[in-house]
Amino acid sequence: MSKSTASSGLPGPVRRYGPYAFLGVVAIWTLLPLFWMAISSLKIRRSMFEFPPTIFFDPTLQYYVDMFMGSNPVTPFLINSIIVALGTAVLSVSLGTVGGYGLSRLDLRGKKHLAFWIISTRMAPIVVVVIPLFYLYSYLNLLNTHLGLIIAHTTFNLPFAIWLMRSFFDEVPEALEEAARIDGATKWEAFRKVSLPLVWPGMGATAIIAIVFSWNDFIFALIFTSNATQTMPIAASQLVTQTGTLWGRVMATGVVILLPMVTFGVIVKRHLVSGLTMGAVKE
Amino acid sequence: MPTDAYVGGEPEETDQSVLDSVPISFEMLLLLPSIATLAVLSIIPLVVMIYLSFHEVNFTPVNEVIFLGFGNYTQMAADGNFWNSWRVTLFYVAGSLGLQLGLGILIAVMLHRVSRGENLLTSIIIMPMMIAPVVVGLLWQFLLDPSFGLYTYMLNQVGLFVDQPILANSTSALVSIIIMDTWQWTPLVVLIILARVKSIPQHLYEAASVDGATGITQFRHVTLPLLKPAIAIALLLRSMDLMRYFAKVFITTGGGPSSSTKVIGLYVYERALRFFNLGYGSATGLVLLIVTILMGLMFVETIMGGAGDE
Repeated sequence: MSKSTASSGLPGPVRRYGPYAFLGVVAIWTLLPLFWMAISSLKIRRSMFEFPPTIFFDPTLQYYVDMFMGSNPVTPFLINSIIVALGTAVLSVSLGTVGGYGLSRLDLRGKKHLAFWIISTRMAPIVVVVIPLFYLYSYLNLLNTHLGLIIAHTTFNLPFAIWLMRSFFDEVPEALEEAARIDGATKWEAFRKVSLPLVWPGMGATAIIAIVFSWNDFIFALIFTSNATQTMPIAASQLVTQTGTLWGRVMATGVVILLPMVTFGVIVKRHLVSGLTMGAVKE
Repeated sequence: MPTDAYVGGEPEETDQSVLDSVPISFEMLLLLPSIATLAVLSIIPLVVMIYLSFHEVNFTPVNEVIFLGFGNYTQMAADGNFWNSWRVTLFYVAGSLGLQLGLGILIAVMLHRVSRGENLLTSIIIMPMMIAPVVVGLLWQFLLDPSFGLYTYMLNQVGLFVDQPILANSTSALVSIIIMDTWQWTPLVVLIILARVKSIPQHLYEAASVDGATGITQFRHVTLPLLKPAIAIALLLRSMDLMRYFAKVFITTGGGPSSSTKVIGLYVYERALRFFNLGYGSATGLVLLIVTILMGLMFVETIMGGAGDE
Protein backbone atom coordinates (compact mmCIF):
# COMPACT_ATOMS: atom_id res chain seq x y z
CA MET A 1 0.00 0.00 0.00
CA SER A 2 2.82 2.35 0.81
CA LYS A 3 4.22 1.80 -2.68
CA SER A 4 0.99 2.76 -4.39
CA THR A 5 0.59 5.93 -2.38
CA ALA A 6 4.16 6.83 -3.19
CA SER A 7 3.60 6.60 -6.95
CA SER A 8 0.14 8.11 -7.02
CA GLY A 9 1.47 10.88 -4.82
CA LEU A 10 3.80 12.08 -7.58
CA PRO A 11 3.21 15.72 -8.45
CA GLY A 12 1.03 16.24 -11.53
CA PRO A 13 3.69 17.64 -13.88
CA VAL A 14 5.96 14.63 -13.22
CA ARG A 15 3.15 12.24 -14.01
CA ARG A 16 2.22 14.12 -17.14
CA TYR A 17 5.64 14.99 -18.54
CA GLY A 18 7.69 12.19 -16.99
CA PRO A 19 6.99 9.76 -19.84
CA TYR A 20 7.93 12.40 -22.42
CA ALA A 21 11.21 13.13 -20.66
CA PHE A 22 12.00 9.43 -20.41
CA LEU A 23 11.11 8.77 -24.05
CA GLY A 24 13.14 11.81 -25.07
CA VAL A 25 16.19 10.23 -23.47
CA VAL A 26 15.40 6.95 -25.24
CA ALA A 27 15.12 8.79 -28.57
CA ILE A 28 18.48 10.49 -28.04
CA TRP A 29 20.10 7.21 -27.03
CA THR A 30 18.72 5.65 -30.22
CA LEU A 31 19.55 8.47 -32.59
CA LEU A 32 22.91 9.70 -31.30
CA PRO A 33 24.99 6.91 -32.90
CA LEU A 34 23.14 7.37 -36.20
CA PHE A 35 23.53 11.13 -36.09
CA TRP A 36 27.21 10.71 -35.29
CA MET A 37 27.64 8.31 -38.17
CA ALA A 38 25.94 10.68 -40.60
CA ILE A 39 28.03 13.70 -39.64
CA SER A 40 31.25 11.68 -39.47
CA SER A 41 30.67 10.58 -43.04
CA LEU A 42 30.84 14.27 -43.99
CA LYS A 43 33.96 15.17 -42.02
CA ILE A 44 37.36 15.66 -43.56
CA ARG A 45 40.08 13.47 -42.16
CA ARG A 46 41.43 16.09 -39.77
CA SER A 47 38.14 16.82 -37.97
CA MET A 48 37.13 13.16 -37.82
CA PHE A 49 39.87 12.25 -35.38
CA GLU A 50 39.73 15.34 -33.19
CA PHE A 51 39.42 14.70 -29.50
CA PRO A 52 37.23 16.04 -28.00
CA PRO A 53 35.01 15.25 -30.99
CA THR A 54 33.69 18.24 -32.93
CA ILE A 55 30.23 19.02 -34.14
CA PHE A 56 31.09 22.08 -36.22
CA PHE A 57 33.21 21.45 -39.31
CA ASP A 58 33.31 22.04 -43.05
CA PRO A 59 31.23 19.24 -44.54
CA THR A 60 32.57 17.32 -47.52
CA LEU A 61 31.01 14.72 -49.78
CA GLN A 62 34.46 13.36 -50.60
CA TYR A 63 33.85 9.91 -49.04
CA TYR A 64 30.67 9.43 -51.03
CA VAL A 65 32.42 10.43 -54.24
CA ASP A 66 35.36 8.13 -53.44
CA MET A 67 32.99 5.31 -52.69
CA PHE A 68 31.71 5.26 -56.26
CA MET A 69 34.57 6.85 -58.21
CA GLY A 70 37.70 6.14 -56.17
CA SER A 71 39.71 2.97 -55.77
CA ASN A 72 37.73 -0.19 -54.93
CA PRO A 73 34.33 1.30 -55.82
CA VAL A 74 31.30 -0.20 -54.09
CA THR A 75 29.24 -0.31 -57.28
CA PRO A 76 29.74 -4.06 -57.98
CA PHE A 77 28.95 -4.85 -54.32
CA LEU A 78 25.82 -2.73 -54.56
CA ILE A 79 24.68 -4.56 -57.70
CA ASN A 80 25.31 -7.95 -56.05
CA SER A 81 23.34 -6.87 -52.99
CA ILE A 82 20.39 -5.78 -55.13
CA ILE A 83 20.38 -8.99 -57.20
CA VAL A 84 20.54 -11.22 -54.12
CA ALA A 85 17.98 -9.25 -52.13
CA LEU A 86 15.47 -9.19 -54.99
CA GLY A 87 16.05 -12.86 -55.81
CA THR A 88 15.52 -13.81 -52.19
CA ALA A 89 12.38 -11.68 -51.95
CA VAL A 90 10.83 -13.15 -55.11
CA LEU A 91 11.58 -16.72 -54.06
CA SER A 92 10.49 -16.25 -50.44
CA VAL A 93 7.31 -14.35 -51.24
CA SER A 94 6.09 -16.64 -54.02
CA LEU A 95 6.72 -19.86 -52.10
CA GLY A 96 5.62 -18.22 -48.85
CA THR A 97 2.35 -16.90 -50.25
CA VAL A 98 1.29 -20.19 -51.79
CA GLY A 99 2.54 -22.14 -48.78
CA GLY A 100 1.06 -19.72 -46.28
CA TYR A 101 -2.32 -20.01 -47.96
CA GLY A 102 -2.07 -23.79 -47.85
CA LEU A 103 -1.14 -23.73 -44.18
CA SER A 104 -3.94 -21.31 -43.37
CA ARG A 105 -6.66 -23.36 -45.07
CA LEU A 106 -5.26 -26.79 -44.35
CA ASP A 107 -7.52 -29.01 -42.32
CA LEU A 108 -5.24 -31.57 -40.79
CA ARG A 109 -4.62 -33.13 -37.43
CA GLY A 110 -1.15 -32.19 -36.27
CA LYS A 111 -1.24 -28.94 -38.23
CA LYS A 112 0.24 -27.24 -35.19
CA HIS A 113 3.21 -29.58 -35.31
CA LEU A 114 3.67 -28.98 -39.01
CA ALA A 115 3.60 -25.22 -38.42
CA PHE A 116 6.08 -25.55 -35.60
CA TRP A 117 8.40 -27.68 -37.70
CA ILE A 118 8.30 -25.03 -40.42
CA ILE A 119 9.28 -22.28 -38.03
CA SER A 120 11.83 -24.41 -36.21
CA THR A 121 13.86 -24.60 -39.41
CA ARG A 122 14.48 -20.91 -38.93
CA MET A 123 15.66 -21.24 -35.38
CA ALA A 124 18.85 -23.03 -36.30
CA PRO A 125 21.97 -21.01 -35.53
CA ILE A 126 23.38 -19.52 -38.72
CA VAL A 127 26.67 -21.28 -38.30
CA VAL A 128 24.87 -24.62 -37.99
CA VAL A 129 23.23 -24.05 -41.37
CA VAL A 130 26.39 -22.71 -42.91
CA ILE A 131 28.74 -25.62 -42.21
CA PRO A 132 26.87 -28.36 -44.09
CA LEU A 133 25.75 -25.93 -46.81
CA PHE A 134 29.35 -24.97 -47.37
CA TYR A 135 30.22 -28.64 -47.71
CA LEU A 136 27.31 -29.26 -50.12
CA TYR A 137 27.92 -26.08 -52.12
CA SER A 138 31.53 -27.03 -52.70
CA TYR A 139 30.28 -30.16 -54.48
CA LEU A 140 27.42 -28.45 -56.31
CA ASN A 141 29.59 -25.56 -57.50
CA LEU A 142 27.30 -23.08 -55.80
CA LEU A 143 30.03 -21.29 -53.89
CA ASN A 144 30.60 -17.79 -55.17
CA THR A 145 27.33 -17.64 -57.13
CA HIS A 146 24.35 -15.35 -56.72
CA LEU A 147 22.07 -18.39 -56.74
CA GLY A 148 23.93 -20.02 -53.86
CA LEU A 149 23.53 -16.94 -51.70
CA ILE A 150 19.88 -16.53 -52.71
CA ILE A 151 19.16 -20.13 -51.71
CA ALA A 152 20.95 -19.67 -48.40
CA HIS A 153 19.00 -16.50 -47.63
CA THR A 154 15.77 -18.20 -48.63
CA THR A 155 16.32 -20.96 -46.07
CA PHE A 156 16.10 -18.26 -43.44
CA ASN A 157 13.32 -16.22 -45.01
CA LEU A 158 10.89 -18.87 -46.20
CA PRO A 159 9.70 -20.16 -42.79
CA PHE A 160 8.75 -16.71 -41.58
CA ALA A 161 7.32 -15.81 -44.98
CA ILE A 162 4.99 -18.82 -44.68
CA TRP A 163 3.99 -17.92 -41.12
CA LEU A 164 3.51 -14.30 -41.94
CA MET A 165 1.44 -14.95 -45.06
CA ARG A 166 -0.59 -17.52 -43.14
CA SER A 167 -1.44 -14.89 -40.55
CA PHE A 168 -2.65 -12.59 -43.34
CA PHE A 169 -4.71 -15.33 -45.01
CA ASP A 170 -6.19 -16.27 -41.62
CA GLU A 171 -7.82 -12.86 -41.62
CA VAL A 172 -9.52 -13.36 -44.98
CA PRO A 173 -12.95 -14.87 -44.21
CA GLU A 174 -13.37 -18.27 -45.80
CA ALA A 175 -16.97 -17.34 -46.54
CA LEU A 176 -15.71 -15.11 -49.35
CA GLU A 177 -14.07 -18.09 -51.03
CA GLU A 178 -17.08 -20.28 -50.47
CA ALA A 179 -19.28 -17.70 -52.16
CA ALA A 180 -16.98 -17.76 -55.18
CA ARG A 181 -16.99 -21.55 -55.19
CA ILE A 182 -20.79 -21.58 -55.27
CA ASP A 183 -20.56 -19.35 -58.33
CA GLY A 184 -18.50 -22.06 -59.98
CA ALA A 185 -14.92 -21.01 -59.26
CA THR A 186 -12.33 -23.71 -58.72
CA LYS A 187 -10.34 -23.78 -55.48
CA TRP A 188 -7.40 -22.33 -57.36
CA GLU A 189 -9.54 -19.52 -58.75
CA ALA A 190 -10.97 -18.81 -55.30
CA PHE A 191 -7.43 -18.47 -54.01
CA ARG A 192 -6.13 -16.54 -56.99
CA LYS A 193 -9.05 -14.18 -57.58
CA VAL A 194 -10.64 -13.78 -54.15
CA SER A 195 -8.07 -14.16 -51.41
CA LEU A 196 -4.83 -13.20 -53.09
CA PRO A 197 -5.89 -9.65 -54.02
CA LEU A 198 -6.78 -9.07 -50.36
CA VAL A 199 -3.30 -9.85 -49.06
CA TRP A 200 -1.22 -7.60 -51.31
CA PRO A 201 -0.13 -5.45 -48.36
CA GLY A 202 0.96 -8.60 -46.56
CA MET A 203 2.99 -9.71 -49.56
CA GLY A 204 4.61 -6.31 -49.69
CA ALA A 205 5.52 -6.45 -46.01
CA THR A 206 6.87 -9.99 -46.41
CA ALA A 207 8.95 -8.92 -49.41
CA ILE A 208 10.40 -5.97 -47.54
CA ILE A 209 11.33 -8.03 -44.51
CA ALA A 210 12.96 -10.61 -46.79
CA ILE A 211 14.89 -7.84 -48.54
CA VAL A 212 16.04 -6.37 -45.23
CA PHE A 213 17.30 -9.73 -43.99
CA SER A 214 19.11 -10.50 -47.22
CA TRP A 215 20.56 -7.02 -47.61
CA ASN A 216 21.86 -6.97 -44.03
CA ASP A 217 23.25 -10.50 -43.90
CA PHE A 218 26.96 -10.79 -43.28
CA ILE A 219 27.84 -14.34 -42.27
CA PHE A 220 26.33 -16.16 -45.27
CA ALA A 221 27.88 -13.63 -47.61
CA LEU A 222 31.21 -13.93 -45.85
CA ILE A 223 31.32 -17.67 -46.30
CA PHE A 224 29.58 -18.28 -49.61
CA THR A 225 30.92 -15.45 -51.75
CA SER A 226 34.21 -14.20 -53.03
CA ASN A 227 35.25 -11.33 -55.32
CA ALA A 228 32.56 -11.59 -57.98
CA THR A 229 29.49 -11.94 -55.74
CA GLN A 230 30.30 -10.06 -52.55
CA THR A 231 27.60 -7.84 -51.09
CA MET A 232 27.60 -4.45 -49.36
CA PRO A 233 28.21 -5.64 -45.78
CA ILE A 234 31.36 -7.37 -47.04
CA ALA A 235 32.44 -4.13 -48.71
CA ALA A 236 32.04 -2.36 -45.37
CA SER A 237 33.99 -4.99 -43.46
CA GLN A 238 36.83 -4.86 -45.99
CA LEU A 239 37.47 -1.24 -45.10
CA VAL A 240 38.96 -2.49 -41.85
CA THR A 241 42.50 -3.24 -43.01
CA GLN A 242 45.80 -4.30 -41.51
CA THR A 243 47.09 -0.77 -41.88
CA GLY A 244 44.09 0.86 -40.22
CA THR A 245 40.42 1.47 -40.76
CA LEU A 246 39.23 3.93 -43.41
CA TRP A 247 36.67 5.45 -41.06
CA GLY A 248 35.38 8.07 -43.48
CA ARG A 249 34.58 5.44 -46.08
CA VAL A 250 33.18 3.12 -43.40
CA MET A 251 30.73 5.77 -42.21
CA ALA A 252 29.69 6.73 -45.75
CA THR A 253 29.25 3.07 -46.74
CA GLY A 254 27.28 2.50 -43.55
CA VAL A 255 24.93 5.34 -44.42
CA VAL A 256 24.38 3.89 -47.91
CA ILE A 257 23.65 0.45 -46.42
CA LEU A 258 21.26 1.61 -43.72
CA LEU A 259 19.35 4.42 -45.38
CA PRO A 260 17.14 2.33 -47.70
CA MET A 261 16.46 -0.23 -44.98
CA VAL A 262 15.54 2.34 -42.34
CA THR A 263 13.22 3.94 -44.90
CA PHE A 264 11.59 0.56 -45.59
CA GLY A 265 11.26 -0.01 -41.86
CA VAL A 266 9.40 3.22 -41.31
CA ILE A 267 7.14 2.50 -44.32
CA VAL A 268 6.12 -0.97 -43.17
CA LYS A 269 6.20 -0.09 -39.47
CA ARG A 270 2.66 -1.28 -39.02
CA HIS A 271 3.50 -4.75 -40.31
CA LEU A 272 6.91 -4.90 -38.73
CA VAL A 273 5.81 -6.41 -35.43
CA SER A 274 3.76 -9.15 -37.01
CA GLY A 275 6.57 -9.65 -39.52
CA LEU A 276 9.41 -9.90 -37.07
CA THR A 277 7.38 -12.02 -34.69
CA MET A 278 6.17 -14.16 -37.59
CA GLY A 279 2.57 -13.22 -36.94
CA ALA A 280 2.66 -14.09 -33.25
CA VAL A 281 1.82 -10.49 -32.39
CA LYS A 282 -0.77 -8.46 -34.25
CA GLU A 283 -0.98 -4.68 -34.22
CA MET B 1 2.54 -37.67 -63.91
CA PRO B 2 0.26 -34.85 -62.72
CA THR B 3 1.67 -35.13 -59.19
CA ASP B 4 5.16 -34.47 -60.44
CA ALA B 5 4.07 -31.36 -62.26
CA TYR B 6 2.54 -29.88 -59.11
CA VAL B 7 5.40 -30.71 -56.80
CA GLY B 8 7.52 -28.82 -59.27
CA GLY B 9 5.53 -25.75 -58.29
CA GLU B 10 3.47 -24.87 -61.35
CA PRO B 11 0.07 -24.28 -59.83
CA GLU B 12 -0.91 -21.94 -62.69
CA GLU B 13 -2.03 -24.95 -64.69
CA THR B 14 -4.17 -26.38 -61.92
CA ASP B 15 -7.69 -27.22 -62.94
CA GLN B 16 -10.46 -28.90 -61.07
CA SER B 17 -10.56 -32.16 -62.99
CA VAL B 18 -6.88 -32.79 -62.62
CA LEU B 19 -7.08 -31.81 -58.97
CA ASP B 20 -9.59 -34.51 -58.21
CA SER B 21 -7.24 -37.20 -59.43
CA VAL B 22 -4.50 -36.12 -57.02
CA PRO B 23 -4.66 -38.06 -53.75
CA ILE B 24 -3.85 -35.07 -51.51
CA SER B 25 -5.83 -31.96 -50.72
CA PHE B 26 -5.52 -28.72 -52.65
CA GLU B 27 -4.16 -26.96 -49.55
CA MET B 28 -1.48 -29.57 -49.05
CA LEU B 29 -0.56 -29.25 -52.70
CA LEU B 30 0.07 -25.55 -52.24
CA LEU B 31 2.12 -26.20 -49.16
CA LEU B 32 4.22 -28.93 -50.74
CA PRO B 33 6.75 -26.81 -52.64
CA SER B 34 7.57 -24.97 -49.43
CA ILE B 35 7.76 -28.13 -47.35
CA ALA B 36 9.96 -29.74 -49.97
CA THR B 37 12.27 -26.72 -50.08
CA LEU B 38 12.52 -26.55 -46.30
CA ALA B 39 13.01 -30.28 -45.99
CA VAL B 40 15.80 -30.24 -48.53
CA LEU B 41 17.38 -27.17 -46.98
CA SER B 42 17.07 -28.25 -43.38
CA ILE B 43 17.09 -32.03 -43.23
CA ILE B 44 19.90 -32.64 -45.70
CA PRO B 45 22.23 -30.16 -44.00
CA LEU B 46 21.35 -31.69 -40.64
CA VAL B 47 22.16 -35.19 -41.86
CA VAL B 48 25.38 -33.95 -43.44
CA MET B 49 26.28 -32.25 -40.20
CA ILE B 50 25.66 -35.30 -38.05
CA TYR B 51 27.73 -37.30 -40.51
CA LEU B 52 30.57 -34.77 -40.45
CA SER B 53 30.57 -34.62 -36.66
CA PHE B 54 31.79 -38.22 -36.56
CA HIS B 55 34.54 -37.58 -39.08
CA GLU B 56 37.66 -35.60 -39.69
CA VAL B 57 37.47 -33.62 -42.93
CA ASN B 58 40.66 -32.64 -44.71
CA PHE B 59 40.96 -30.40 -47.74
CA THR B 60 44.74 -30.47 -48.10
CA PRO B 61 46.71 -32.14 -49.48
CA VAL B 62 43.70 -34.07 -50.81
CA ASN B 63 40.00 -34.09 -50.00
CA GLU B 64 39.43 -36.88 -47.53
CA VAL B 65 36.98 -37.80 -44.82
CA ILE B 66 38.25 -40.01 -42.00
CA PHE B 67 35.91 -41.79 -39.59
CA LEU B 68 36.62 -40.82 -35.98
CA GLY B 69 33.70 -42.28 -34.08
CA PHE B 70 33.08 -40.14 -31.02
CA GLY B 71 36.53 -38.57 -31.29
CA ASN B 72 35.22 -35.05 -31.89
CA TYR B 73 32.85 -35.36 -28.96
CA THR B 74 35.47 -36.54 -26.48
CA GLN B 75 37.75 -33.75 -27.68
CA MET B 76 34.93 -31.29 -27.11
CA ALA B 77 34.30 -32.45 -23.53
CA ALA B 78 37.93 -31.73 -22.69
CA ASP B 79 38.13 -28.46 -24.64
CA GLY B 80 38.44 -25.55 -22.20
CA ASN B 81 37.83 -22.99 -24.97
CA PHE B 82 34.53 -24.66 -25.84
CA TRP B 83 33.30 -24.41 -22.26
CA ASN B 84 34.61 -20.87 -21.96
CA SER B 85 32.50 -19.91 -24.98
CA TRP B 86 29.42 -21.33 -23.33
CA ARG B 87 30.16 -19.33 -20.20
CA VAL B 88 30.54 -16.16 -22.31
CA THR B 89 27.31 -17.03 -24.14
CA LEU B 90 25.48 -17.46 -20.85
CA PHE B 91 26.49 -13.97 -19.69
CA TYR B 92 25.85 -12.48 -23.11
CA VAL B 93 22.38 -14.00 -23.51
CA ALA B 94 21.27 -13.54 -19.90
CA GLY B 95 22.61 -9.98 -19.72
CA SER B 96 21.07 -8.95 -23.03
CA LEU B 97 17.71 -10.59 -22.29
CA GLY B 98 17.49 -8.99 -18.85
CA LEU B 99 18.37 -5.51 -20.07
CA GLN B 100 16.20 -5.67 -23.17
CA LEU B 101 13.19 -7.04 -21.36
CA GLY B 102 13.41 -4.54 -18.51
CA LEU B 103 13.96 -1.56 -20.78
CA GLY B 104 11.50 -2.86 -23.36
CA ILE B 105 8.63 -3.12 -20.86
CA LEU B 106 9.44 0.30 -19.41
CA ILE B 107 9.55 1.99 -22.82
CA ALA B 108 6.38 0.24 -24.01
CA VAL B 109 4.43 1.27 -20.91
CA MET B 110 5.67 4.86 -21.26
CA LEU B 111 4.79 4.92 -24.96
CA HIS B 112 1.31 3.76 -24.09
CA ARG B 113 0.92 6.63 -21.61
CA VAL B 114 1.85 9.48 -23.91
CA SER B 115 -1.05 10.93 -25.85
CA ARG B 116 0.89 12.67 -28.59
CA GLY B 117 3.99 11.80 -30.62
CA GLU B 118 3.68 8.04 -30.18
CA ASN B 119 3.87 7.52 -33.91
CA LEU B 120 7.01 9.60 -34.34
CA LEU B 121 8.64 8.03 -31.29
CA THR B 122 8.00 4.48 -32.53
CA SER B 123 9.39 5.42 -35.94
CA ILE B 124 12.60 6.57 -34.26
CA ILE B 125 12.81 3.63 -31.92
CA ILE B 126 12.57 0.97 -34.65
CA MET B 127 15.45 2.38 -36.70
CA PRO B 128 18.31 0.36 -35.16
CA MET B 129 16.57 -2.94 -35.95
CA MET B 130 16.79 -2.26 -39.66
CA ILE B 131 20.55 -1.77 -39.68
CA ALA B 132 23.00 -4.40 -40.87
CA PRO B 133 24.91 -5.97 -37.95
CA VAL B 134 28.18 -5.18 -39.69
CA VAL B 135 27.32 -1.51 -39.75
CA VAL B 136 26.16 -1.59 -36.13
CA GLY B 137 29.42 -3.29 -35.13
CA LEU B 138 31.61 -0.83 -37.03
CA LEU B 139 29.63 2.12 -35.74
CA TRP B 140 30.01 1.06 -32.10
CA GLN B 141 33.67 0.35 -32.63
CA PHE B 142 33.94 3.92 -33.88
CA LEU B 143 32.01 5.30 -30.90
CA LEU B 144 34.14 3.34 -28.43
CA ASP B 145 37.50 3.99 -30.08
CA PRO B 146 40.04 4.86 -27.38
CA SER B 147 41.53 7.82 -29.23
CA PHE B 148 38.61 9.54 -30.96
CA GLY B 149 35.37 7.75 -30.00
CA LEU B 150 32.44 9.94 -29.00
CA TYR B 151 31.33 7.59 -26.22
CA THR B 152 34.89 7.20 -24.97
CA TYR B 153 35.05 10.98 -24.75
CA MET B 154 31.76 11.18 -22.84
CA LEU B 155 32.79 8.45 -20.41
CA ASN B 156 36.18 10.12 -19.93
CA GLN B 157 34.40 13.32 -18.95
CA VAL B 158 32.92 11.57 -15.94
CA GLY B 159 36.25 9.93 -15.14
CA LEU B 160 35.56 6.50 -16.60
CA PHE B 161 37.92 4.56 -18.88
CA VAL B 162 40.53 7.29 -19.02
CA ASP B 163 43.47 5.79 -20.95
CA GLN B 164 41.71 2.42 -20.79
CA PRO B 165 40.45 1.21 -24.16
CA ILE B 166 36.91 -0.04 -23.51
CA LEU B 167 37.07 -2.97 -25.91
CA ALA B 168 40.49 -4.10 -24.61
CA ASN B 169 39.25 -5.08 -21.17
CA SER B 170 37.48 -8.44 -20.72
CA THR B 171 34.60 -7.17 -18.61
CA SER B 172 33.94 -3.89 -20.40
CA ALA B 173 34.21 -5.61 -23.79
CA LEU B 174 31.53 -8.13 -22.80
CA VAL B 175 29.34 -5.37 -21.37
CA SER B 176 29.87 -3.39 -24.59
CA ILE B 177 28.60 -6.15 -26.85
CA ILE B 178 25.59 -6.59 -24.55
CA ILE B 179 24.84 -2.87 -24.72
CA MET B 180 25.36 -2.85 -28.47
CA ASP B 181 22.77 -5.61 -28.92
CA THR B 182 20.48 -3.86 -26.45
CA TRP B 183 20.69 -0.67 -28.49
CA GLN B 184 19.74 -2.55 -31.62
CA TRP B 185 17.09 -5.00 -30.42
CA THR B 186 15.27 -3.52 -27.41
CA PRO B 187 12.92 -1.94 -30.00
CA LEU B 188 11.60 -5.37 -30.97
CA VAL B 189 10.74 -6.10 -27.34
CA VAL B 190 9.08 -2.68 -27.14
CA LEU B 191 6.89 -3.37 -30.19
CA ILE B 192 5.85 -6.82 -28.96
CA ILE B 193 5.00 -5.58 -25.46
CA LEU B 194 3.32 -2.42 -26.75
CA ALA B 195 0.95 -4.39 -28.99
CA ARG B 196 -0.10 -6.35 -25.92
CA VAL B 197 -0.33 -3.36 -23.58
CA LYS B 198 -2.69 -1.69 -26.04
CA SER B 199 -4.99 -4.70 -26.01
CA ILE B 200 -5.52 -4.62 -22.24
CA PRO B 201 -9.09 -3.40 -21.70
CA GLN B 202 -9.36 -0.10 -19.86
CA HIS B 203 -12.04 -1.38 -17.50
CA LEU B 204 -9.52 -3.68 -15.81
CA TYR B 205 -7.59 -0.63 -14.70
CA GLU B 206 -10.76 1.08 -13.63
CA ALA B 207 -11.74 -1.94 -11.56
CA ALA B 208 -8.29 -1.97 -10.00
CA SER B 209 -8.58 1.73 -9.19
CA VAL B 210 -11.89 1.12 -7.45
CA ASP B 211 -10.10 -1.47 -5.34
CA GLY B 212 -7.52 1.16 -4.45
CA ALA B 213 -4.69 -0.07 -6.67
CA THR B 214 -2.76 2.63 -8.49
CA GLY B 215 0.62 3.16 -10.13
CA ILE B 216 3.08 0.42 -9.40
CA THR B 217 0.58 -1.87 -7.67
CA GLN B 218 -1.67 -1.64 -10.70
CA PHE B 219 1.24 -2.43 -12.95
CA ARG B 220 2.27 -5.45 -10.88
CA HIS B 221 -1.16 -6.95 -10.45
CA VAL B 222 -2.96 -5.96 -13.64
CA THR B 223 -0.49 -5.20 -16.42
CA LEU B 224 2.34 -7.62 -15.72
CA PRO B 225 0.32 -10.85 -15.49
CA LEU B 226 -1.40 -10.00 -18.77
CA LEU B 227 1.93 -9.34 -20.43
CA LYS B 228 3.19 -12.86 -19.73
CA PRO B 229 2.52 -14.36 -23.18
CA ALA B 230 4.04 -11.31 -24.89
CA ILE B 231 7.10 -11.52 -22.64
CA ALA B 232 7.49 -15.18 -23.53
CA ILE B 233 7.37 -14.36 -27.25
CA ALA B 234 9.91 -11.59 -26.80
CA LEU B 235 12.21 -13.88 -24.84
CA LEU B 236 11.82 -16.65 -27.41
CA LEU B 237 12.68 -14.47 -30.39
CA ARG B 238 15.51 -12.60 -28.70
CA SER B 239 17.16 -15.65 -27.18
CA MET B 240 17.05 -17.51 -30.51
CA ASP B 241 18.66 -14.56 -32.27
CA LEU B 242 21.27 -14.06 -29.57
CA MET B 243 22.30 -17.68 -29.98
CA ARG B 244 22.17 -17.55 -33.78
CA TYR B 245 23.92 -14.37 -34.75
CA PHE B 246 27.45 -13.32 -34.00
CA ALA B 247 28.26 -10.83 -36.78
CA LYS B 248 28.33 -7.80 -34.45
CA VAL B 249 30.74 -9.51 -32.07
CA PHE B 250 32.80 -10.75 -35.00
CA ILE B 251 33.21 -7.17 -36.24
CA THR B 252 33.76 -5.27 -32.97
CA THR B 253 35.89 -7.53 -30.82
CA GLY B 254 36.47 -10.63 -32.95
CA GLY B 255 35.90 -12.58 -29.72
CA GLY B 256 38.69 -10.87 -27.82
CA PRO B 257 40.35 -9.78 -25.68
CA SER B 258 41.60 -13.30 -24.93
CA SER B 259 38.29 -14.98 -25.86
CA SER B 260 36.31 -12.97 -23.29
CA THR B 261 33.62 -12.19 -25.90
CA LYS B 262 33.90 -15.37 -27.96
CA VAL B 263 30.25 -16.38 -27.99
CA ILE B 264 29.54 -19.97 -28.97
CA GLY B 265 28.39 -19.15 -32.52
CA LEU B 266 31.66 -17.39 -33.20
CA TYR B 267 33.62 -20.24 -31.65
CA VAL B 268 31.91 -22.82 -33.87
CA TYR B 269 32.42 -20.60 -36.90
CA GLU B 270 36.13 -20.30 -36.21
CA ARG B 271 36.63 -24.03 -35.71
CA ALA B 272 34.68 -24.99 -38.82
CA LEU B 273 35.32 -22.27 -41.34
CA ARG B 274 38.40 -20.38 -40.27
CA PHE B 275 40.55 -23.33 -39.24
CA PHE B 276 38.56 -25.57 -41.60
CA ASN B 277 38.02 -28.26 -39.04
CA LEU B 278 34.58 -29.15 -40.40
CA GLY B 279 34.27 -32.31 -38.31
CA TYR B 280 34.93 -30.69 -34.95
CA GLY B 281 32.97 -27.62 -36.00
CA SER B 282 29.98 -29.83 -36.82
CA ALA B 283 30.12 -31.58 -33.46
CA THR B 284 30.21 -28.28 -31.53
CA GLY B 285 27.57 -26.86 -33.89
CA LEU B 286 25.24 -29.78 -33.16
CA VAL B 287 25.50 -29.10 -29.44
CA LEU B 288 24.67 -25.46 -30.14
CA LEU B 289 21.68 -26.52 -32.24
CA ILE B 290 20.37 -28.85 -29.53
CA VAL B 291 20.72 -26.21 -26.81
CA THR B 292 18.97 -23.64 -29.02
CA ILE B 293 16.09 -26.00 -29.75
CA LEU B 294 15.69 -26.87 -26.06
CA MET B 295 15.62 -23.17 -25.17
CA GLY B 296 13.07 -22.56 -27.91
CA LEU B 297 10.86 -25.40 -26.72
CA MET B 298 11.05 -24.09 -23.17
CA PHE B 299 9.71 -20.70 -24.22
CA VAL B 300 7.15 -22.18 -26.62
CA GLU B 301 5.89 -24.32 -23.75
CA THR B 302 5.48 -21.13 -21.71
CA ILE B 303 3.58 -19.47 -24.54
CA MET B 304 1.31 -22.39 -25.31
CA GLY B 305 0.77 -23.52 -21.73
CA GLY B 306 0.86 -20.06 -20.19
CA ALA B 307 -1.72 -17.56 -19.13
CA GLY B 308 -3.29 -17.40 -22.57
CA ASP B 309 -2.77 -17.61 -26.27
CA GLU B 310 -2.13 -14.79 -28.66
